[in-house]
Amino acid sequence: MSDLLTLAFTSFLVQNIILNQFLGICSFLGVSNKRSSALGMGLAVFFVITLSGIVTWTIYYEILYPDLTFMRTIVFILVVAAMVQILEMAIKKFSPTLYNSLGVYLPLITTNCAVLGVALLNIQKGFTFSEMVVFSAFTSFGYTAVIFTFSYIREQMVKAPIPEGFKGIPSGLVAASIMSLIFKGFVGLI
Amino acid sequence: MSNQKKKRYTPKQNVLRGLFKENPTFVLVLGMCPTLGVTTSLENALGMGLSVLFVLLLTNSLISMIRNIVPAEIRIPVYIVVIALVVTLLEWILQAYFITIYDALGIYLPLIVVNCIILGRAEAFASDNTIIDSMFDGMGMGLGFTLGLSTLAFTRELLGTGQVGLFGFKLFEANVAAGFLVQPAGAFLTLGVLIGIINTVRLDKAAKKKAIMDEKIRIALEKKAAKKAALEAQKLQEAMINE
Amino acid sequence: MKKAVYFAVFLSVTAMLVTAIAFLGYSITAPTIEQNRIDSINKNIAILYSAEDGFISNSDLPENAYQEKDYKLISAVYEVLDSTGKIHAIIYNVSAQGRNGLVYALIAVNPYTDTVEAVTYYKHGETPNIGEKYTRDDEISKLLGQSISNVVIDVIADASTTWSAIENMFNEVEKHYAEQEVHINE
Repeated sequence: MSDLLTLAFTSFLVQNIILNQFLGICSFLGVSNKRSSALGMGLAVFFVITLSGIVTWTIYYEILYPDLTFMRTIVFILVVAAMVQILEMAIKKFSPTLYNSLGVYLPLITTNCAVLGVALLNIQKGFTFSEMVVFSAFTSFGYTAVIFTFSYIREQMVKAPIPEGFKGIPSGLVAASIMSLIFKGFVGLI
Repeated sequence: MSNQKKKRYTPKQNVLRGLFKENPTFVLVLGMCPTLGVTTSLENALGMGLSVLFVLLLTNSLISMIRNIVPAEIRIPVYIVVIALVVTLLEWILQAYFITIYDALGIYLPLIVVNCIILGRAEAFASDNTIIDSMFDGMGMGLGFTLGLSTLAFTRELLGTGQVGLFGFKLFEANVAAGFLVQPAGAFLTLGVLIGIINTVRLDKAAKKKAIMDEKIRIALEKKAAKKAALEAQKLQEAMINE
Repeated sequence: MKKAVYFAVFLSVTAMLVTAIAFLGYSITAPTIEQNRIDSINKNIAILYSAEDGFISNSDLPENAYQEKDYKLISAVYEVLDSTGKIHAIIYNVSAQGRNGLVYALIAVNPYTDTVEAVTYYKHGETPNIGEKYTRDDEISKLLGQSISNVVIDVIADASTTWSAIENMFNEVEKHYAEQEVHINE
């Protein structure tokens, strides 16, 4: 049990998926302008990563292993694309307002490095089922937390007198670098 | 079917476009994950850049070849499968014959599949253009990506460790270097500053261009107004003479 | 209806083609990859015991699937045999999370006396002059000769994360050693 807790803590804070592993940066920079879209994107990514992590892990160990492992990347990305499609249809049906606010970002979750990255990492690290669930859930929760916090920062940064060339993405990257430094401090807590 | 002639770029234009005007790293800000992840040293960056170049060439060509056979509704899944196949083959080639690059790229190698540049170019360019054009476009984007990655890696490695491993070129000792530049935080900072500088230069250029255009327009308008005034003065004179 | 059938046929043909090409590529490259892996294992063993001294390795690798991995940090266990075929040492290939990434070590244990015989850190990213001090010969020599059931690692100021990585590695080795009854009676 304490192993799982350490794993949860590590994957959430110490090896944070955005600030340490650099997965999911494109969407992180693109969507974090406004709090509402950041939260929506963060939650959508949370569901997609956790669910597709579970599904890909199961498919790998039940169907692909040991003869068909060479089809791993191809099968995984197709599963991710299918999950995003299903999620899009579900959101459209249950909450049209959320669907409208997320707009074009939803299909983009397919090309979010974080989703395929977590699926592959689950296999690479040789997790058992419970470890895999904890890892996927807490890693993606790290994504949600960071992108939501960052949207607050970016909303405030718009009011600051930043030189023209640095407005938007460059200043966002500098702010992310400071956040990354802060998160590095969590290493010593384990 | 519209009768508009589609604008065709020459091969050289395609390549240069990907290199500078629409550089994936600094202008389009695409493919950020490997950009931050593998630029700790120049060798890794070149390895990643050349891998993406290889994949882009192949996928752009292949997708351009099949663009007329694939039904439009299922083209995205088919493109994804083609890209995944090419990346898987590249993974095995590197693992078998270039194991140092394979170890250096780590998890980012299979993640080339979801690199926005590749699917983006396939969807935006290769699905509509000839094989040759798509190949050169892929080459341009791949070279631009390599250029962006190498610049970032060069800066981080030189200022962060004092030497560049690939060239064996040493500027200062490792323990007086800004060590945090090879850490994740340094990656964000260097990329942000680089993009900021390039943006400033681009905006400057655009502003200057605009100023020249405005000046030209102003002169042209003045000339037109002067001409009009002269014409009216002439008319007035003629009217006075006729009276 | 006809369109859906066309799509289905197209997709199945694509799937079969892709699988065939992938399988072809895999069969071409897999032998080389396997050979590379074996070569790198032998290279790692040669750090501690070289073939010229008459030592050969007898690899005994636990499967990499999650089901059979009871010892998470140990990626491989090797037996080093001397020129007469008698077991000379047991080498553990272990890794643990350090400050800047994984620390990879080879720990050689003498199965007759249950003591640590040799240690080398063949890959790590620890901070130079701080965590990296553990990888130097003077620190390593403090570990040699200690009984595997109770290894005491010196504490270096500011290097607590690296210390805990090394501590975890030795704990895992001790656990495997005890549970698998690696000890050999002369």
